[in-house]
Amino acid sequence: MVNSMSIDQLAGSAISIKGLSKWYGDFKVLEAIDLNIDNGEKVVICGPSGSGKSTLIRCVNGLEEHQEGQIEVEGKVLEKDIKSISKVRAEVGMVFQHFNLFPHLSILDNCTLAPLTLRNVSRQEAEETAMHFLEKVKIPDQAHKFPSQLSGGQQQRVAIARSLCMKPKIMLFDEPTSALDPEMIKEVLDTMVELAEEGMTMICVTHEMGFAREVADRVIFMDSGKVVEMNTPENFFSNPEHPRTKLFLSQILDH
Amino acid sequence: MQLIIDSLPLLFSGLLITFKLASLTLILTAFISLIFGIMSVSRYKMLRIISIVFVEVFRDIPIVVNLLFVYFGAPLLGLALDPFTAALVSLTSWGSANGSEIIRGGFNSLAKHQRESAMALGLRPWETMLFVLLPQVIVPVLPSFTGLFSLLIQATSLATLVGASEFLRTANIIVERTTMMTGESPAFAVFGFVLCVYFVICFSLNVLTSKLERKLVKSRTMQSQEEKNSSNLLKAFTESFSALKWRKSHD
Ligand SMILES: Nc1ncnc2c1ncn2[C@@H]1O[C@H](COP(=O)(O)OP(=O)(O)O)[C@@H](O)[C@H]1O
Ligand SMILES: [Mg+2]
Repeated sequence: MVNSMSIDQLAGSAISIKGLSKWYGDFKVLEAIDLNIDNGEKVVICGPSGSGKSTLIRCVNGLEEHQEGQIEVEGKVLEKDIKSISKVRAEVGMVFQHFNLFPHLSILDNCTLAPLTLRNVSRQEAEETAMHFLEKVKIPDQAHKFPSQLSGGQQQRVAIARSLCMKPKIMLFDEPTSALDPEMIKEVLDTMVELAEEGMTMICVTHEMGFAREVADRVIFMDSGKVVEMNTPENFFSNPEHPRTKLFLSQILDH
Repeated sequence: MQLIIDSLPLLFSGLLITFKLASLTLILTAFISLIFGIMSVSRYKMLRIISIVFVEVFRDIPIVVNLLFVYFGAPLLGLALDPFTAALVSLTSWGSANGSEIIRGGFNSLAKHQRESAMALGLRPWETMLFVLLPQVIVPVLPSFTGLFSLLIQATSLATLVGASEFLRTANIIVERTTMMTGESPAFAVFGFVLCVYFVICFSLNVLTSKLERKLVKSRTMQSQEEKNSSNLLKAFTESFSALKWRKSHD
C-alpha cells in the first residue's frame, strides 16, 4: 500500500499546462506558459525573485486562480469550483518555504489530519501510514512532540511527510530550503533526493543547483513571468543558451 | 443586616433573574460571535460585508441607548417586548458585535500560510476552519472573552432601567420601601451587598477562565516547552487584541 507511488510511472502527462497567463490587477505575472511534465519526471524551476515561480506552481494546485489557458493534472482539467480543486489538491502535495505545520497538533496528528478527514481510513491505518513516512524522513521518534519543539529542518521534513501521507502522485516544492539554516539544508535535500529516486513526479522551485544537477530531468529558467530557457541540467549549467540565464547562473554560482 | 436577611427571598428572586439574563446573554453572545466572526473571514464578500455592518452598528451604540430603543422603540414597529427580552436582545447584540470583532482579530493574527497549507492538503474550506483555524483561535481569544463576559454580566444591571425585576431593581425596591416605612435609608448596606455579589460573580468567572485557559494550554504542550508556549499565547493574545484596531478584510 505504501509504495503505491511507484505504480504510476507509466508514460503520460502528469501535468500539462497550455497558454497559462495570470494577472494581478494590471500586472501580468505569468505570460503564456506552456509546460508538459511526464509521470515520474523531476523539473527544477529557478529564476530571479519575483519572476513568477511561486505563482506558477501555486496555479497547479489551484491556490491561485489563472485567467487564461488550461491546466491539466493527471488528465483532469483544473476547474474553478472548490470541490474539484480540493480533489486535485489531495493528489498533489505541496511543501512551502515556511514549514507550515499546524502548531496546535502533534507531529503525528499533523500527518493524520488530512487522511482522516479526506480518505476513508481508520485512525490506526492513518497512524501507521504517518509513522511509515515519518521514518522515511528519519524522525519517527518525534511523533508525539509539537512543531515548536522541532528544529526548522525537522519541521520541513515533517511537512514533506505530512504531504506524503495523502499518497500524492505529484509533489510541488516552493523553495523548501531557503528559510533554513545552512546546516539543515542538507537533511531536507537528502529527503527530496530519496523521494525523487523512488519515482515521484516533482516540480521544485529551488536555487540549490547541486540538487538540480543530481535530480532534475529538466531545469527551467523563468524571468518576468516567462519561461526563458528549458534544458537538461548538463546543457543548462555548462552551455546555457540565453544571455539572461548566463547572467543569472553567474550571480548565484558566484557567492 | 437583619434587613438584608429579611429581604433575602426578594433579593434572591432578583438574583435568579439576573442569572437567567446573564447566562442566556453569554450563551447567545458566544454563539452569535462565533458565527459573525467566521463570516468576517469568509471567502464570500457578501458575508464579510454583513458581518462588518453588524459589528459596526452594534459596537458603536451604547448598550443603554440600544436598550431604551429596543424597549420603547420596538413597540412603534408593532414589536412589543417585555423588559427581560428587550434586555436580552440589546445585551446580546452589543456583546456579539464585540465578540465577533475579537474572533476576527484572532483569525487575522493567524499566519496566512496556515489556511494555505491546509487547503494544499486538500481540506475543504469548512474543514480548514474547523480543524486548523478555529482551534488555534479559541485559546488566544479566551482572555478577551472573559473580559467581555464580565462586562456583560455587569451590564445586566442596566435592565433595571426598563423595569426588568432583576437583582439591582429588587435591591432598589427594598431600599425605597424601607426608607418610606422607617424613614431611614438602608442604601449603604443593601447596595453594599449588591456590590459584593456582582464582584464575587465576575471575580470567580475570571479565576475560572484563567484556570481553564492554563489547562487548555497545558493539554497541548509538553514539559519543557510549556514556558515558551505560554509566552506564545500571550503574544497571540496581544496580537489578537491589537488586531481589533486595524480594519482590513481578510485575504
Ligand atoms: N497576491 C499578490 N498580489 C499582487 N502581486 C503579487 C501577489 N503575489 C505575488 N505578486 C507579484 O507577482 C510577482 C511574482 O511573484 P512570485 O510568483 O511570488 O515570484 P517568485 O516566486 O518567482 O519570487 C512578483 O512581482 C510579486 O510581487
Ligand atoms: Mg517564490
